Amino acid sequence: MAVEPEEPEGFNMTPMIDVTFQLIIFFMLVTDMAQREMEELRLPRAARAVKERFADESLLVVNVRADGSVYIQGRPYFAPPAPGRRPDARRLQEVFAARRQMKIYQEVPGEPTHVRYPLLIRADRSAPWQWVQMIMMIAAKEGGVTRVQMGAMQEEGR
Amino acid sequence: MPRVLTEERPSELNMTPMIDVVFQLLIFFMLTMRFKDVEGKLLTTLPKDKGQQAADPLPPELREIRVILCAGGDTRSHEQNREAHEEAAKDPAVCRVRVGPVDCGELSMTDRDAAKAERNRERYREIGLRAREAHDMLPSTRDPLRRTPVILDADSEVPYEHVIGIINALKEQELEAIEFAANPRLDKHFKGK
Repeated sequence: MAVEPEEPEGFNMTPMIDVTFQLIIFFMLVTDMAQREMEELRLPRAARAVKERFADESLLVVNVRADGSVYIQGRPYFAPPAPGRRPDARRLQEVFAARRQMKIYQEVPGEPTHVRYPLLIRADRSAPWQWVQMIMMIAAKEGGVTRVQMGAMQEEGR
Repeated sequence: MPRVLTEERPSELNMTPMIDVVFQLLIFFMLTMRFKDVEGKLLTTLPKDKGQQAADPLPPELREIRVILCAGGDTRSHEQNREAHEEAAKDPAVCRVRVGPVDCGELSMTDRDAAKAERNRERYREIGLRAREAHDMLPSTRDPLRRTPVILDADSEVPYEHVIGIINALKEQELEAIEFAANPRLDKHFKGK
């Protein structure tokens, strides 16, 4: 009976608001990450994969999903054609051609023969090889790219 | 006197929100720390100033090591008529591998199947060893400046994981000069543009 006066104190909303805010911030950051260059993919495993110490600003990340569709910075750039149809990679070709013209990426400034930025291809483990090949072909031909990095997960143990 | 005690309560510092915040931050950092350092890269280079190359006078088994990866498990048709082989419908679930003339068995797609993944890993290792053997038998390897490239010739439908697995195995055998064979079908599509 003596404890009763404590109860009508009112429900304290502060912790709930805190939690909610934190959740909101968390989801904002997570969705932002998904929107950025790294897609959520099941990368293949490779023990010899190396970790890059510092992120390279000029790195171009190209993501290939399991069905073969290509995404750069969360936006679609290529969709695999229906069987029997020709693949249409105009958007990809434009990306590489445009990059090649940028002076900051040229090996010899002013001469768009070869470029210096690294290209990272991240493909899902079940993505058909031909679409990765296609990206490399376009990168070499339209973009003058010579260095390609292939995304892989580092194996746990050996 | 219980009354006095209850009136004094609101002046105390309430720790609950702070603990909540700290917990949330802790969980946040724990989660974000994880997905950053598992990812790595395999470094490869694309040929500079080279399109499709003219044939060398040496016989192919002496100037290159060719790893052939075929979807659907038929390496013969791949060799006899590459274009017709590419046009035929194939099942990417099973792939057959050959290092030069040596058959190295089948690779299967690993979709959360640990046993299959382990079997594939053994195959990759074997492919690496075979390529190393072939490389050591070549006359050109006596000259350290002239490295014979390993040419990876994979079908259109081969899953990416096998290609990565083989590159990884070749790197483990210190065969760093890896080249990718062109895809005749894609070549045809993108030529003249």
